Amino acid sequence: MSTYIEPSSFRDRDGFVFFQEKNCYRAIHNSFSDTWDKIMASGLYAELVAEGKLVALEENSTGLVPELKHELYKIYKAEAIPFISYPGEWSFSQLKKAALLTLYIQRRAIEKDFCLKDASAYNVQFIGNRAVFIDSLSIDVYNEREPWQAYGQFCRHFLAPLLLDAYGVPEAHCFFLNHIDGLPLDVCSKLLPWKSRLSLLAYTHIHLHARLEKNHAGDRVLNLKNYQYSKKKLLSLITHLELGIKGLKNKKTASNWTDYYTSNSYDRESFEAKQNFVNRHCENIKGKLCLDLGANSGVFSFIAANHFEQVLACDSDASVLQNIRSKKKPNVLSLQLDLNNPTPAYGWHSKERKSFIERAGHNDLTLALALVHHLCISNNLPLPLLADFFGSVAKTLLIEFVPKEDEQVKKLLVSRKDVFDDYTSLHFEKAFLKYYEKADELQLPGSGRILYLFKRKPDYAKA
Amino acid sequence: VQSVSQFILYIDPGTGSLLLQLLAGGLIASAVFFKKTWLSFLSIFRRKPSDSENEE
Repeated sequence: MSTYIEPSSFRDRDGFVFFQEKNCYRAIHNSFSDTWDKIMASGLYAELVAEGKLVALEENSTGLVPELKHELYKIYKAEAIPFISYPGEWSFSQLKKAALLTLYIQRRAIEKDFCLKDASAYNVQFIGNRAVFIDSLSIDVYNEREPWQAYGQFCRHFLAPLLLDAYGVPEAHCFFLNHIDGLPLDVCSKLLPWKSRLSLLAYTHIHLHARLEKNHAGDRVLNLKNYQYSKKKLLSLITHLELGIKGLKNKKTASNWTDYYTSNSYDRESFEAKQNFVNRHCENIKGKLCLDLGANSGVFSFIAANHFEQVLACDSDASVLQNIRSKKKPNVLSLQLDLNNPTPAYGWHSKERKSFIERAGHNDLTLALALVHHLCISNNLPLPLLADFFGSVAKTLLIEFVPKEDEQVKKLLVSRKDVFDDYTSLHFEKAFLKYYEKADELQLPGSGRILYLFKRKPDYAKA
Repeated sequence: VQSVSQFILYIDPGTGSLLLQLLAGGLIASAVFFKKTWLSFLSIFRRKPSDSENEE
């Protein structure tokens, strides 16, 4: 039985997360035993779990890590998170939800004389559209008179990117890739427009905060004798952040993709045939996780959601993802992802945070509908590389080939030279049959489009 | 009285972040007091928005 210790656990001296047989476990060190017992005795943990806000833990003392057992106080089996997503893949509203959950847990903790010792956005995950706090060991004892030590981190991870979005600074979510510990406040302060200084939220928590950070960066001694910081003030700080963040609204942008399925070249018969084909195979395959790449309106994500525990609706366009979320399907998680540049591995040793491909590899079905022409024509991607990519991500693949004669492909070719001689269904099949066996095929009526169901050959199975 | 610098901290809280809380704590507490008073005044005239309306 192999044990895999989660690489991002290294910062916490009080415990760590590990995996065995696809199950996730949380180990707690002896050094944290007193605090842990106090948290459990206070009822805080049980209340937050009952509310669905904190990941549930089930005690498991079967000695799963024999070599570390003498250092460990307790081992728990953690509630399964179907897919670990990262804040750079979330939308404004998902980051806002995660921020408010973090503040809620902090408030509830303070009320019982505990406190969040860190406020990283990575501590929050989504099960469908429900945000859940996964780092049970972030809760620590609250020391009277102490300011919130994770306040700076909260501002970097949550408030800074949310404010950038709210003030219309584009691509705020991209900063998570460059900055493992959130967007530096001096950078945020420079990016925000001048008028943001008129907002007390942005002025105090970002601009003034960044100035104090800069002016006191070299301080070795912090003389706090003259200052009082009461629990009341700490709760006011949390309320101020909560009220401010609740009031933030994302600046909406128009998109070419929002009306794709109402304005594109599908006729009704063809679209119904496609829906039936997808529905039939989703029903047969079933399972835990379905990956819908290029989800667009989400119509096929919603079909899959009837048969899978969780569906990841991935698209590069924030507006279409917002439409998907507005349907409030509880087991559909929308994520922003550019397949031409999917989230890489990053953080310490490039292992702390995993690539999207590594995290998504355990899916039961991958949908790639009306997608390949965008990858092949717009990004000059040769078919063998396309097949190679899917071969590494999808064990079962439902994919649509969109031929050159299709109106959507013609549009893509209007402004460029057609250098895609091998972009044919014949070459497409040949490329995919290197990795897959063809399980089903459907020529869509009244269209040159073909749907394929591929099953990965055992020799190409992911290790 | 125990000072902040004596606590063993899990992450580096940053001197600026601690000072901001100490210096602006009073201002933030007053702002919250006025905002809450204002919101409860407004709530007399408005219906309370549901959680789902606050989401997006």
